[in-house]
Amino acid sequence: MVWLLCLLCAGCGIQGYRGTDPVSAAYLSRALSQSQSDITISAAVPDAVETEELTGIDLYDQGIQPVWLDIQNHGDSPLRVVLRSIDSEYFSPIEVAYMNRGAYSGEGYEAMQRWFYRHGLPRLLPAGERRSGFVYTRHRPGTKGFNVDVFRKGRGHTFTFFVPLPGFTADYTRVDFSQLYPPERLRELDFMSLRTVLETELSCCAGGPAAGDNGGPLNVVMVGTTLALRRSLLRGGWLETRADASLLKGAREHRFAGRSPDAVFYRSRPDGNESLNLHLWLAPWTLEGESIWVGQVYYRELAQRLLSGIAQNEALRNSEFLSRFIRESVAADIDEAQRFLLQNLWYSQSLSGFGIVTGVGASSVSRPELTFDGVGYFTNGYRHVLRVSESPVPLGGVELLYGGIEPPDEETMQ
Amino acid sequence: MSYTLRIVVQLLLLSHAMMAVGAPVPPPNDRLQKRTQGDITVNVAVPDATEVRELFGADLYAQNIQPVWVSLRNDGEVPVFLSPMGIDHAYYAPREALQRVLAAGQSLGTTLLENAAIRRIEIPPRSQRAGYVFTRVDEGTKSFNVDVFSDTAVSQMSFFVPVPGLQLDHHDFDRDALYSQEEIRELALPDLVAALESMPCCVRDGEGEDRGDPLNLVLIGQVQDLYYAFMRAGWDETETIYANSLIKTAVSALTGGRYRYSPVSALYVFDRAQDVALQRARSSIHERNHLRLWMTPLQFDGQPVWLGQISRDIGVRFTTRTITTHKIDPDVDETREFLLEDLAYTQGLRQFGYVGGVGAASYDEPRSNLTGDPYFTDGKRIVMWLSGTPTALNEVEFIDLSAWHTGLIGD
Repeated sequence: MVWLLCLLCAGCGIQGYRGTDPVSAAYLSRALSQSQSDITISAAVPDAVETEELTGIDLYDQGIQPVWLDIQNHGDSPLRVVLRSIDSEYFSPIEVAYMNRGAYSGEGYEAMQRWFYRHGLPRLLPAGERRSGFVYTRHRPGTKGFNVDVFRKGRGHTFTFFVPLPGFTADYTRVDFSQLYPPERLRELDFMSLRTVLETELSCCAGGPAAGDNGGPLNVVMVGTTLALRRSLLRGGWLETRADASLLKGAREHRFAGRSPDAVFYRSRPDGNESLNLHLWLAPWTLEGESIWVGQVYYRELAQRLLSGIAQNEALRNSEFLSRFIRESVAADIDEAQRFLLQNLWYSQSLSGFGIVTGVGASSVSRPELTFDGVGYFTNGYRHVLRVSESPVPLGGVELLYGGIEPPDEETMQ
Repeated sequence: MSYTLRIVVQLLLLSHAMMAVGAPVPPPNDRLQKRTQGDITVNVAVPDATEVRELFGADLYAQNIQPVWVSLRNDGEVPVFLSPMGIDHAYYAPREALQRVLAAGQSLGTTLLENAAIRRIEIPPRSQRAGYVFTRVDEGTKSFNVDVFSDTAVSQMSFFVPVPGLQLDHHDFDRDALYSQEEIRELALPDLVAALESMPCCVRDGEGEDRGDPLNLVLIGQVQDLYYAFMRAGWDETETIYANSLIKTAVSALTGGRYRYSPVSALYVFDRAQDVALQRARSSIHERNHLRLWMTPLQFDGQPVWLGQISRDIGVRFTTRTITTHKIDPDVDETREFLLEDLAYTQGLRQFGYVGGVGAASYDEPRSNLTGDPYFTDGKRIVMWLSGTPTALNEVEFIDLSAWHTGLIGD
């Protein structure tokens, strides 16, 4: 009988609730602060252990990552904070409480719901006031990157935070960008001379560990400030890579100007086993004061590791196996990844200009190219030039930089 | 248009008058729908599961793949771009579709799929392109947008293509069937505010007796702009309640699986059930937003005015009456503000402001809806003017309506 009662109680929850005061928590010592005109925002992100200490619940285990924000409105009119800018699918405070109601008694749940509600970040800040609180975002591995858009009288300000979490170092933080090129190699270009450089000077492809290796086409060129680039990749859902990541170790064997990518980003869809890789290298050129990055975007299939031996093996290289790979694999159709990136930036309001130039050289299904790490591919041979903007661009506001190239079209399929 | 572009365009014009790009892909059936905007003509058709099996020799629907046939004719003198992502933001590249079919043990030729697919997004001047975009399956009415870009311009068109299958709520909206010409009132802003504040505070049950969720939304816009904006923001139409779909919802609730079309129950305003019901699924059924709209007899600047209700589901409870019901977030203002942000970020919003009419309820003294869930609110109704053309975030205007507030709370 006692056992039966115990079993029944296991389902109903008998705990009380005690949340901690967020203002005294240790992670606040890592808060970063930024100011624009008369607005100051501080941001801090508790890690998994700190989150459990704070809320009493292992939220990271449920894919939820709290972001703490403190916003000061020094202006003389109200300010509106857009929570959706931080995460388009954030969890509401009471939603997080309700998801975790099971372990608590009725009173315990009341207390918990009140704690989450009281410590949620409010959207409206009256003139001259200061507010702080949590936004419950989806957990993403790595440095916590997010935008905070605030509006006053229709004028927007975008703050972008990259809050490091203990134990994660993004690859690009290890690159000393000021030392990459000697001053005499740096060139200021305009759009016309950029096109010439891309079509006639820039090599078709990245390299690999050995001289003469084909590391795959350099099929994207991004133009924009560093901030615009990081913001646009954030908005598009791209994830950064740890400097010591073993998952994307292969990506670092790709070379441009004799070095590994300065930054590797990736993006995967929840219902698939492919992931998109984006490798970026800072180029020694600028355009209207903005940086230019050369890069490559392609699909990486999880089975691809099996193929890395193929490139070195003459027999396999001409095998039916490889030709089937090229006929069927997602990764072989490398232009599809290029199209995805274009649309991804376009719909996330980051793209201000776009152009198509030549420079890669076409290859086809019947005459594919093969990278040093075993990716057979075909392409119509174009590069996409993508100019990204710090401020949002409407769908119809994208300037066509270069266009009208009559493509060879479906002949790459033959 | 840049100088180079103009030269290229002229060269193209010299070389061919009207050409088809690639091999022409014929439509799958004669259920064609056509729209024309300026120099752009778009035709679409959606094959049902049987037609897809006949076309491709494989069951794509079973792998959650629904091909949409699109034909675009560009009679203009500049190149345009057709974005598959506009049709479904999580569309499948042809080879992604192929791999899903192969992984399920079916056979399918790559070439068949790729030759049928739209594989290039640019459509040169005076040319035509037709083919398939592989989208996720929508049962019943397939509703999607087609976005066509050119240099600093965009044409957007919404399509609703019936596909044999489930029955959804969408129908071509006929205002004349709801209101006679005499009932329709065009109002200036001060009168509009007063009229909106005197509208019912809340939805009612079928008998018109008990009050339910607060009517905290007002939308102003043509029905096609409304559908375009919500589809762009990832909202789906809902299914009408039938026994079959209730079972699917119950299974989905038990497994946490994602069933995009779980039905909503009917709620009543103006003595009728909702005119439009939409939902936005997130990663599981436990987390979705529901929205219901009723067209009012009011009109502003020639645009219809809609009254509505939105709720964020934070869980599913089991009931005897409808098998399942959703537990809503009691912080209904949070849900309302999220909708504002969602429409602004997906470029569907032109301006917004607030009126009263709902009546405030505090956290400690909440009111409750028809299924007994509590809610609290500041008592405001948000008024959103939808945009027929994409509007960037920083162009969205806030309109202060407080000068015309009446202090009325609707019944």
